[in-house]
Amino acid sequence: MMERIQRFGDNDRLLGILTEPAGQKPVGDIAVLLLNAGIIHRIGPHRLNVKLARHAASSGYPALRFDLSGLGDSAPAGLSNDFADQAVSDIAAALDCIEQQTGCRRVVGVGLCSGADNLFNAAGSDPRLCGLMLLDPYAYASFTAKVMFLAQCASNAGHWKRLAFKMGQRLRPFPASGADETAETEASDDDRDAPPRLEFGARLLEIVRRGTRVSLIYTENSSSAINAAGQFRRRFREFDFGDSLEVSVYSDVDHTFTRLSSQHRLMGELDRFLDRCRSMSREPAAAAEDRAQIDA
Amino acid sequence: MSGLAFHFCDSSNPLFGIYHRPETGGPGNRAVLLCPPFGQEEIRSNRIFRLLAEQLARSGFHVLRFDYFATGDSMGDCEQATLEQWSKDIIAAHDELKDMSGANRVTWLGLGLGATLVASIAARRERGLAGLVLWDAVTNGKAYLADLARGHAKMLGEDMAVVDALPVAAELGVREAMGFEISATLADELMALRLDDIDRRPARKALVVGQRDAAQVALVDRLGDLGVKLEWCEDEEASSWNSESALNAFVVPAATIRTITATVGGWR
Repeated sequence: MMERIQRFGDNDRLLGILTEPAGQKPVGDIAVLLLNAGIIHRIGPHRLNVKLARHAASSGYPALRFDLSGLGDSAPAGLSNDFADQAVSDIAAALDCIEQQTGCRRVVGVGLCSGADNLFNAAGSDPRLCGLMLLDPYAYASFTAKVMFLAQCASNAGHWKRLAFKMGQRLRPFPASGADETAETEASDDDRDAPPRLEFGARLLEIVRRGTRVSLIYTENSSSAINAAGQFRRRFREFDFGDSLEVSVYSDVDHTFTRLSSQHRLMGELDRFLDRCRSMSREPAAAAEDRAQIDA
Repeated sequence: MSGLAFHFCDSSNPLFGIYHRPETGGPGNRAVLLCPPFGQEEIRSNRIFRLLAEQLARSGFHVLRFDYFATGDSMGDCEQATLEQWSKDIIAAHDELKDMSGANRVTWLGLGLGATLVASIAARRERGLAGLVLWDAVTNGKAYLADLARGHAKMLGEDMAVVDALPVAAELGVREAMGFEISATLADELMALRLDDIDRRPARKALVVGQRDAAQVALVDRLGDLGVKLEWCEDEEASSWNSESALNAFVVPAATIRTITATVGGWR
């Protein structure tokens, strides 16, 4: 395994570290892209991005971890772009970097919290993202989830106290805004700048129809909105995501994967997800062209 | 302004560093080596170190900030980390900074455990340093381990009152603290770590940064007894970098950074 420092983007503003398998061609021509979580720099919470990058490389997948504009050691953009729009541009630059340095045009993006949001936003316009592993992405509460959550808290005061504390620790770049705690709503059940439920569903559907595999992993941090995997598809019953979408609930894992056991669990899941993405029969760009022809 | 990112030291296990060239005039022979804290504290302080490096560079200093082996972006897995290796890394970074800059007057600045290492190494082998900046130095390793254990429990929302030792990740064979592996070797080294037993003057001058608690007073007294000319920065915000909120917001002790820059700038 070797690591190379990368400067890329406009005026080489963006800094990243590319981790590459030692002396072998990338497996399945797929690379991994790891995003900032909140304002934490590119190494990730608990150095998680470094661990995931090196784990991916040990399995044959190059991995780039980098800092978005203005975070870590990347310079600000100097433009008046909205933060979310700039993140999408930065991700495109990162994908360009991966392609130039490794030849990989298929990339699996891994993002936690705001990183998940940014990847979701970028995937809508960049078919090179053939896979998305989104950790604690936008969550839309169902009535069932709310009931189960309240029941769990009622039966375990320590559980409620712990979750209330940890929800205050969510990695968010934006100030908190209140969430409706009482009923099923069309708004995301957290304080991020989330799209309405139907818009999120439509965009997710477009992403999977294009051929991108998506893995949504919710930790205990999202347990007030989703605490069983089946709740997601029921909440989004209007959409047929097919088997390109996987939803998991890690109810015993905290938001930033603090316990080493949860980090190793995540590495195992990354292995499996990368294998599934590698087994895709065609490049996403080709799949998008086919889709365009069908829709014409 | 963003600095030159590069790898240095042993090519098989390179260290990651960022070098900041001085932006202004001045003698150009002065440099500052920034030595980070450990683990969660390193993450919380990353932005502050960048801002401090940029401020020092604007004031005419060559600056190198870097990651110890098995931390940050340097090679090595977390469980491979030892204080002994980090001490060697500081020496290597010092030599690299001198080679890159041509500076002959180097100040070492350490934060948290980085300050402890800086003081310990300097006491063992005075290297003609211009001075030391010791920011929230860890003065007692046993107490520090207990703090890590409580911090781990707090991070997981668990009851800190029943915590007396770092938990063991049994399946991995290491202890863990706030998301980081702690090997048995590192734990033993930390347990034995004390700053009150240094017996040689580490530098002629030092700036101690942090709140005036019993541990810091004892450190200052010890350094004074060894003949170090001391100054103390007690800005209220000086320790604000080491908080949970620092993970979600840009907590920057601007006044402390200005004080450090001005003090180091005045050392001849």
